[in-house]
Amino acid sequence: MMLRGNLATRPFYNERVVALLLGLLAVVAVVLTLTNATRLMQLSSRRSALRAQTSADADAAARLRQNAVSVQSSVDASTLNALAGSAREANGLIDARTFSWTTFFSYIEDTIPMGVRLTAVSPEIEKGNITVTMLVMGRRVEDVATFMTALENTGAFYDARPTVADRTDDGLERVTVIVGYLPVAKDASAGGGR
Amino acid sequence: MTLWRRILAERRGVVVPLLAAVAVNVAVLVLVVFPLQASVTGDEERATAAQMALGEARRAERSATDTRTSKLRADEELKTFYTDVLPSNLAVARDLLYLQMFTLAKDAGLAFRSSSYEPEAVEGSALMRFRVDISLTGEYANIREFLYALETAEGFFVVESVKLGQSTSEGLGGSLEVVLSVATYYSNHSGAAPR
Repeated sequence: MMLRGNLATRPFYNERVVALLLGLLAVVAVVLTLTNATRLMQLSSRRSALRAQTSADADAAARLRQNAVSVQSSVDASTLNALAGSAREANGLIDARTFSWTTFFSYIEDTIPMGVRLTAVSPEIEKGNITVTMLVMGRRVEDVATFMTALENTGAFYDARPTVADRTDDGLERVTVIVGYLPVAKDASAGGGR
Repeated sequence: MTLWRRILAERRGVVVPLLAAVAVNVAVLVLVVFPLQASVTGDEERATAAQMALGEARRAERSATDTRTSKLRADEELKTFYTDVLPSNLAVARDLLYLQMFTLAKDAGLAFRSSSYEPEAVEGSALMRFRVDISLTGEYANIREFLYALETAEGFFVVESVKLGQSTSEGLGGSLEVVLSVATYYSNHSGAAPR
């Protein structure tokens, strides 16, 4: 019969397992140390870079703002207003100068019915919008209405409307027509016409 | 003594330093790395805010510079317009509306009937407006030609209105009478900058 119990006062244990566990602990310690050290270096470096960048950005922003204020103060509001007024005036004059009577009469020639005669024209240009006032004489009211419709059908005129209408001693319908005008490129030479 | 205590006692020289190293690392992680991480996050937010402020300042500066550049360019263009495009004084305006108009009308085959001239100040402006109402007679094609000549002339003519009617003159049956209102503008104070 054999004894099952261990009667040794200092029994052997598995030293390999213990060495393995200690090795693992050592690896954990080393990994933690390396991770901490790396992270600390990265964070310190990032913080320095960010602070330097923030400081540089703040300085640049302050310089730019100061420059903007200085530039703005060199352009005072009253000068700017006067300039805007002059520019408006000049643009108005240029718009009036560039109104093409040739193109306008070309449209009129294409649209005016036989029974209607144009006796006066006056364009008015405001903020780039052209309104044309025309005095027309027609044999019949229908002729004048046809003329207004024909103008609108060209696509260059809109909102044609009579404002004053009366009958002359000769029995003609005398109508003042106001119409919006948006001239588009049109082959309009000096010669043509009826 | 349990087996673990025995192992700990036998390997104290290795185990204690290792445990201390792990403990120190954990302490560094909690007390240094995490706060530093939070600090860097705050710095990143501040850096983003600073960048946005810089962008805003750049836009403000660009806007101010653009305004000044536009002003200078507009100044230059207006100067050119008022001095080179518009007649410089009444004498030049008169030449335009009197001499050149007559020449153009004659070249277009229109006959002169009458004209009236009127200089007037333009309200709220340093410009004077010089206007002529000129009455001419001729064929419709001649009138079109004259209008085309005015449109394409170098001088600053503004045709303000056109009135057409049958000519009442004897011997001109079938021809038209046209009354044109034509204006030009010149500086009120010769040599002075506008406005």
